[in-house]
Amino acid sequence: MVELALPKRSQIKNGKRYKAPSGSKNVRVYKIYRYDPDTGENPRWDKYEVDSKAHGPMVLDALIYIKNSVDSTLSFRRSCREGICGSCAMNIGGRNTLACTKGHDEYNGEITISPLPHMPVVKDLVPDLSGFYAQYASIEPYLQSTTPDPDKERLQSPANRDKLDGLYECILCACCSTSCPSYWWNQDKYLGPAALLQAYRWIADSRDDHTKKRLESLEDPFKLYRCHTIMNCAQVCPKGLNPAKAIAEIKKMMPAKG
Amino acid sequence: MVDSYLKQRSPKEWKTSEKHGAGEWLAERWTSVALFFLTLWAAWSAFGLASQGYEAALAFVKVPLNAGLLAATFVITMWHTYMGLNANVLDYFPNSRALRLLNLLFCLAVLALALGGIYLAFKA
Repeated sequence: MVELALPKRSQIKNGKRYKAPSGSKNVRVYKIYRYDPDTGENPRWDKYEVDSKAHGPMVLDALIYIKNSVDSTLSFRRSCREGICGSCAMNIGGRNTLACTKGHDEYNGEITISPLPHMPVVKDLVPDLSGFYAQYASIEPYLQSTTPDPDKERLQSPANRDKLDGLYECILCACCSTSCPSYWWNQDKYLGPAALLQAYRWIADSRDDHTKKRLESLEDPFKLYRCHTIMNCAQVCPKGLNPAKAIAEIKKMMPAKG
Repeated sequence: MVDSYLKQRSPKEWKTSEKHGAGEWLAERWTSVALFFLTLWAAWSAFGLASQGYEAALAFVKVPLNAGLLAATFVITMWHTYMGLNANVLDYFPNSRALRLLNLLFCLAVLALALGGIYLAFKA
């Protein structure tokens, strides 16, 4: 629910500034959100001056350089470093994206980095995504069919397979859900773009015959209908997907489900 | 703080469906379509009556078709308004039954005034 006052100790203070070694060229400044709930202190913005020639081309390279060479207390998630695991999703320059696929040269001036918005922060750039994963689990993201298991794989026509394009590629990085204002206000009830895109991925699958049950479980003023087609989800998706379109397809199917 | 949050988010405890929403979604769209035509009719009629005075306006409402269309315009407008305001309440104050009730009473009150006015003009 909307809150008109900020919670205690949520105002972000100015933090430390880590100077680049003297003689550094191509210095860029990274303004990074720092917060450790265990200390009881307010969050702060720390600034790191980094020589761009000292690390690779991506923002994630800069973060790894800072952790390895400047400040080992900085926390962030990362794994595949090629845009397929979704671990390094964060808010860079005001927009949710993957640090591993964003070049630092795509930004002008100081680069501001904060965790995915409106999520509880475990530490620094690490958000608590347990609610997000619970939402994903709640849509039962696996094939359900009443027909007996075939000897080999369940076959699908090329036309039916094509219906899954733009859906199956989701890497569950949470960029979309955490950019959605409806999700910000009601993430305890609204499933959010990522879970709904995944729900439609199974609704659209010709091999899954639990479509009616899936639609019935989604018919709810909060779980589905808090989407107001704001389209932030489609704008920020690092894989170029369109969750808003998937949600619109679910809404179109809902009245005809019987 | 984080521990308590994790405990609240077991998949089994996730919200179950209220089994409605599709009807409201359809109603929002059909009332929008109806209002597009009714608003054009109302604006066109008002433009025609603009310089003709009170008696001409009264005569306009006394025509049963005009009175019916005017009543339909107000009913659908307030229905659409109720759904729109309710969406705002659900967005920002999802647990407030009082605001939902206030919205319903407000829309019914405005509708009652409008329909009462049309009835009195029709009978005058």
